Amino acid sequence: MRAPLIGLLAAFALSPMARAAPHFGFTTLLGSYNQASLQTGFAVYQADCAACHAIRAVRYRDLTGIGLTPAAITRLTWQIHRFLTPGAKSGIPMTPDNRLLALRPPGANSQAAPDLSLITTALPHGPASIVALLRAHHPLAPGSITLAGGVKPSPATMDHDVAAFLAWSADPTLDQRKSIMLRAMIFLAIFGLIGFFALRQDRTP
Amino acid sequence: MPNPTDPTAQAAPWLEQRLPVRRLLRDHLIFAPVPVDFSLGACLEPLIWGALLTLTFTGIWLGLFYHATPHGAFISLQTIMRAVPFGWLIRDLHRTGVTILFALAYLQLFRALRLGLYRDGRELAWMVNVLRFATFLFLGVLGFIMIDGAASAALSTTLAAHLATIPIIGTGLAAAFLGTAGELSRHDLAHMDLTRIAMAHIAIGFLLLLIAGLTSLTQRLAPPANGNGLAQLDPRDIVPLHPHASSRLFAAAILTGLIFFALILAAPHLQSSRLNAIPASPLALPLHLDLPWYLLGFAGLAQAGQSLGGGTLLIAVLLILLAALPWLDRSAAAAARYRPWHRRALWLLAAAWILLSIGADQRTALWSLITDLSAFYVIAHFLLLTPLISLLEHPKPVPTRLTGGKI
Repeated sequence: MRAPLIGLLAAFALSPMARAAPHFGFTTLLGSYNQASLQTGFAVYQADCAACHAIRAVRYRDLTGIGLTPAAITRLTWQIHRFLTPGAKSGIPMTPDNRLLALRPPGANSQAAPDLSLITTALPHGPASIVALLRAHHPLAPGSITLAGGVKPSPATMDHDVAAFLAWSADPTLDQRKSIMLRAMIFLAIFGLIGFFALRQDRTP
Repeated sequence: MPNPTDPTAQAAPWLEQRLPVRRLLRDHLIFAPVPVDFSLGACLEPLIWGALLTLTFTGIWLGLFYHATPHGAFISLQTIMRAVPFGWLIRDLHRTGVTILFALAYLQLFRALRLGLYRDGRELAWMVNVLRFATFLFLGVLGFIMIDGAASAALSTTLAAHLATIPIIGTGLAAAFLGTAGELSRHDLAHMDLTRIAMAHIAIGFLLLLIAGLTSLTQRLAPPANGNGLAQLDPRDIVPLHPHASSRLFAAAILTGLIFFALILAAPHLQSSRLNAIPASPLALPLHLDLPWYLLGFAGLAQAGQSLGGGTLLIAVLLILLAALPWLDRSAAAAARYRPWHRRALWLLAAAWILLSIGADQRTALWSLITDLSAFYVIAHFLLLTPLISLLEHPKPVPTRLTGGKI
């Protein structure tokens, strides 16, 4: 009786569609961002997207939110400064306050590509839409980034992580919001119960 | 003058003798006389005040960092959410607070219709109440435009076009909002002057506190709202708020707070459109109006008007009919529970309003028909059904004593 049902569920769970659907833990009610995934996603963005697309809402120093240290951010901004102005010793260096602009070398084709700051809010399925878009129109080639330990992530991981990073860019305070609101609700519920019964006690029959 | 021989009068502090705040709080808030059947519905008024004050304080905080310029507004909101300490929390409280305010306001209006809280000496309080609701709507529209996204720009264009259809003053009114000094041109319609929108949002926001104060004052002076819709209450049915109903009011406030925080936790984008993640630009044209939920009923009504002018007219007619309700309802009984046909008509009204809200964003011929029929019912309910039913229906006998007050 129950076997066909289980079989059906298993078939669905193992179907290529179900396997292909990316899972983002932070889209669940109390789920939070995975910092390792966000850092991989940022690396993919730098390697494969940043040449054209800016994320102007995010400043380099905000990247502490994905777990980068201030020293690493300063190192990164110097690398970008050297990349953008080759050989230049003078000029204003990039500061951690700068925004994530498109990293076009000087003289390159400066055709405007859309800013990605709020792309996951604008798309109907959020980060899953990014994964679908990348797979359909702009497949990422493996090998553009190398993680610590020499691992080169698979295209599926790269799609997933860059989508997660873009979701973080659109909503960097999601984790804080969930934890503060949950605590506020627990406080209200306890305070409410105590207050309600205290006020009721006052009533004379 | 305090009696110098009375020790309690001498003990009153200097300020309290001259400005009796504590006495006013005691008489009009803590021990305010309320009917014995003070229900959860009666808590809506104080809760609306809570939502209004939340919006005022968070609004002032947001105003400190908001730049009302065509390209600066969108970016300044992002700065508020990312660089201002707890700016994201303040903005979440403000935008989800609007959802809470409108939910309470719609429920309060429906409760007033059910209990007949617009008649028998409450006419002025009711008209000020309708004015307060209209102000909520206008402020909601202005606030949504201030987000400066693609959906905001579409709404501002629509608002200006609707305003421009008002005879005589319309063009001038629209031009005043658009920031153009002279004639209104089609080019200007796409670029509302955000400085004026923001100023109007702030100025009318503070004016709203005055209107809300007037609403509370007129309600306090009118016969107290009660479940039987009585104009005159038996003195034994009037009790002090504390301790009789304070626990219920407290529970209602805590429940509203829990729903408020749960909405921020689970659906922070509930009333903001997806399109508003894209900055307003002449190139970002939405294919359909993407409105916050509390405007959808009015959008459906405007759509049933068939034209811009017809839509404006229907919305104006509805608000005027609401305000004129005390003179349209001629029944001997006020509360719907003693008027079976009137009660059914009211439930139909609620259903028609929900259908209008859904139909506002549908494009099929069937939904177009449903929207038109719903709009017809909403207007006919006030203009025809209410007077007719109230004249023809024989209400059940209304008890002169109140029952209830269980919690």
